[in-house]
Amino acid sequence: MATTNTNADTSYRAKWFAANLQQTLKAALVAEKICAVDNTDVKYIWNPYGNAPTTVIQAIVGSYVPATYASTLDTLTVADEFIVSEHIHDFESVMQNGDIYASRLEELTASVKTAIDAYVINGLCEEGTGTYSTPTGGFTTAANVSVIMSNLLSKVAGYADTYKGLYLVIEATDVPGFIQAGASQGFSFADAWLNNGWMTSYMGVDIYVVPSGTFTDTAKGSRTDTNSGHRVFGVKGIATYASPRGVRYEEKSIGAETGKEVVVWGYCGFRAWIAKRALTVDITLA
Amino acid sequence: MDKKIRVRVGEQPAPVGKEEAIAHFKALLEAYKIQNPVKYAAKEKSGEFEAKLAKLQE
Repeated sequence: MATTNTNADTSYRAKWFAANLQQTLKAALVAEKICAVDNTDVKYIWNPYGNAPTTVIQAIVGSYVPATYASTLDTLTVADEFIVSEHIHDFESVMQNGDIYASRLEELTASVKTAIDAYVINGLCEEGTGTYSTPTGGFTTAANVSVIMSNLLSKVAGYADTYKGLYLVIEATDVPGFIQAGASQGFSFADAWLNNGWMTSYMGVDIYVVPSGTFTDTAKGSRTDTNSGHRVFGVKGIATYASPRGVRYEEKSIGAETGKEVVVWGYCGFRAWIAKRALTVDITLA
Repeated sequence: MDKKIRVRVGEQPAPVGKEEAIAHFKALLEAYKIQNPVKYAAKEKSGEFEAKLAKLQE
């Protein structure tokens, strides 16, 4: 007996692409790993941190004086839009010896992913108030790597927030120094490093490698960055990246054109909260 | 071939001349000065902007 398609059996490409896009972004975005992420439909998120209270130590007397607490005005505003669009003509999808839709949608996804990552990573670099200048040669000199890492760790050690984990974002050009440094460390570390074949963490810090040119001197939406020659290190989960409803997708027929126009877009805002900014370190390469 | 197809097969940005790059960077710094005055002052004091401008002038 023939099976009739129902809503449970079939669906539109648009629906599945949107779901795949979300999964890909969650898996691939460095920003998702190092920031708190908010996907709710809000334009403003207010500072979640108040000031630190002071505990009084006194001889036993049983009385106390309630103190006032304060919170700083600090707001994340979703002010920027990420959008990419292409038109795929019918003749292109018909006469290609491959799935041109799948190919282009993968490219669009990668483009959005790269743009969001660059936006958030540069935002961390700009808003972090911790500072550190590397020895000459930066991460590309293997001998510098342990020195840099130990100095960076000292910037955030002793804070309770470090239990959330630490991250370092470097560019692809920094990789050789790390590889050489990892492979030349003490026996068990070097062995693990060589066996694993790729760097995931170093001295307890999770390493994220982004493409060369991610740290840039550019205007991005409502923000201006001057981060060429910089990298960023810090405590995970203390800055917030907001993307209301995530990244979305539409494909549509338009007038006077065959095929479909596809558009992928999302809204984005970022904030490193004032109370925790010192735990994000803007690294200057020397 | 229409314009859209050329865009899809990989549009390379036009090469930017030295003067244009310097002007662009200076405009960027003006915007940066307003947006992040604290970091602007720190980076200016450290000579970072001068070094970047010198590199653009090479």
